[in-house]
Amino acid sequence: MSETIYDQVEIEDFTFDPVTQLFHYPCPCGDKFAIGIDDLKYGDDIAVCPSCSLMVKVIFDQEDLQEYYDQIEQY
Amino acid sequence: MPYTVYSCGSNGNYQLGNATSDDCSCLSPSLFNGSLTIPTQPAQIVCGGNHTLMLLVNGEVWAAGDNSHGQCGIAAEDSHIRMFRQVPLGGLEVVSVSAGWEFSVLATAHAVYVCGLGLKGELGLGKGRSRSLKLGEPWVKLVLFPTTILLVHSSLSHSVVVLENNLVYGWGNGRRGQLATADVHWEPVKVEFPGSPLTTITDVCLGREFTVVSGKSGDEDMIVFLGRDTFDIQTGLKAKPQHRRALAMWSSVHLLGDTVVSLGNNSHGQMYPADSGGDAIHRFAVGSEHGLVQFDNHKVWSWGWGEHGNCGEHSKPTESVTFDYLNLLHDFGETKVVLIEGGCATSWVVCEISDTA
Repeated sequence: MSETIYDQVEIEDFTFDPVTQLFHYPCPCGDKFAIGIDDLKYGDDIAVCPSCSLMVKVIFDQEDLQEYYDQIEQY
Repeated sequence: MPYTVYSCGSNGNYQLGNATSDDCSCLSPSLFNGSLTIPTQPAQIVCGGNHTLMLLVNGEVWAAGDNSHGQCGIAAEDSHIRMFRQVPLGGLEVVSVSAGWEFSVLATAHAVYVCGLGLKGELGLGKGRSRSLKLGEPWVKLVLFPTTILLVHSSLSHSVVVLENNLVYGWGNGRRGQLATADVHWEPVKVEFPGSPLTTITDVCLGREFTVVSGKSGDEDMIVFLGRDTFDIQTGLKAKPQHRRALAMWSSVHLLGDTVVSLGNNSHGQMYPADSGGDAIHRFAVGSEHGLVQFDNHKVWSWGWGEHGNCGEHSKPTESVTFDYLNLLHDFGETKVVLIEGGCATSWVVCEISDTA
């Protein structure tokens, strides 16, 4: 059961940190789901929570990533 | 009569207020300035992502957990409130409290106060105003209503108030249409119900990305769903099941009538177990992705996602994080339970302690 995807979350609903290059979204346990921008670029779309087994699928298109890469450049 | 507040579950930021940051799967007393009991009965327990607020029947508010953005409403140097501490209210007569991910809301009869952090309008203080502490105090007055406020509710990143004249106002992240118009609402807006003319509002519940409003249109019962509907909750609501209350986990809705009708995400056993017998439900509460139920005043049962110990220890031979059956969280024996509540993978049980005990 722990392999079940808990939910789907659109990329705009994540917060992006240009320093760590991670996308974050609240997990129902109180911690945050996280996934790296390069993970998304190279085909992964499952954000995981460091404190529990829950996972969410990130809904995005490859072209969505550019604005976040731009944020890294600007930083 | 003193009361003991028992809690279990996710506790990485002291949100259980028991002076530790360890998760626990066994109910243990939360501490009030070091005391195991509190002299006044808690009326409401609301939970943010990592903080907890408690409104007592005498109007006091107590808080514990993550306070790094002032979301406990306490101006403290420490980023965590490790045991429940009384929140200074400066004379406010609080009637209802709510909590979202990193913010809290107080309602008096006519005004709403907010504290904490909200990057998507969660504080409702105007565009770009995302922190209450930057404004110099933990609680900031948000808005004054001419009509009496009945209640305030918050989920992850949006809040609503229901007024006595059956109007609903909301603010925060409404990008999925959970406040009717799809946008981030940095200030409170009147929530309209296009096509569903609700004349009486009887109940409101909020999920992570939706709002469910129960009421009447004339004499006819009506339930309105606003927001993102990944799990096709609306179809179930359209059957308009008779219900007395509607409650929401982050991704499901539970209609409480003679039976429980659960609609939404069942990835981790969130749907109320079908084989739970025909006993009349006495109390019912939900957290982010789990629920609690009582059929009497003494036993508390849990179901749903219990990875952090919030559903207790399994009474069946399994190590799954899912409790797809009603699990006995605790039997308090002769001790009387007066309130149950669920938070973000946390569970809360308030017991009345008889003076002779």
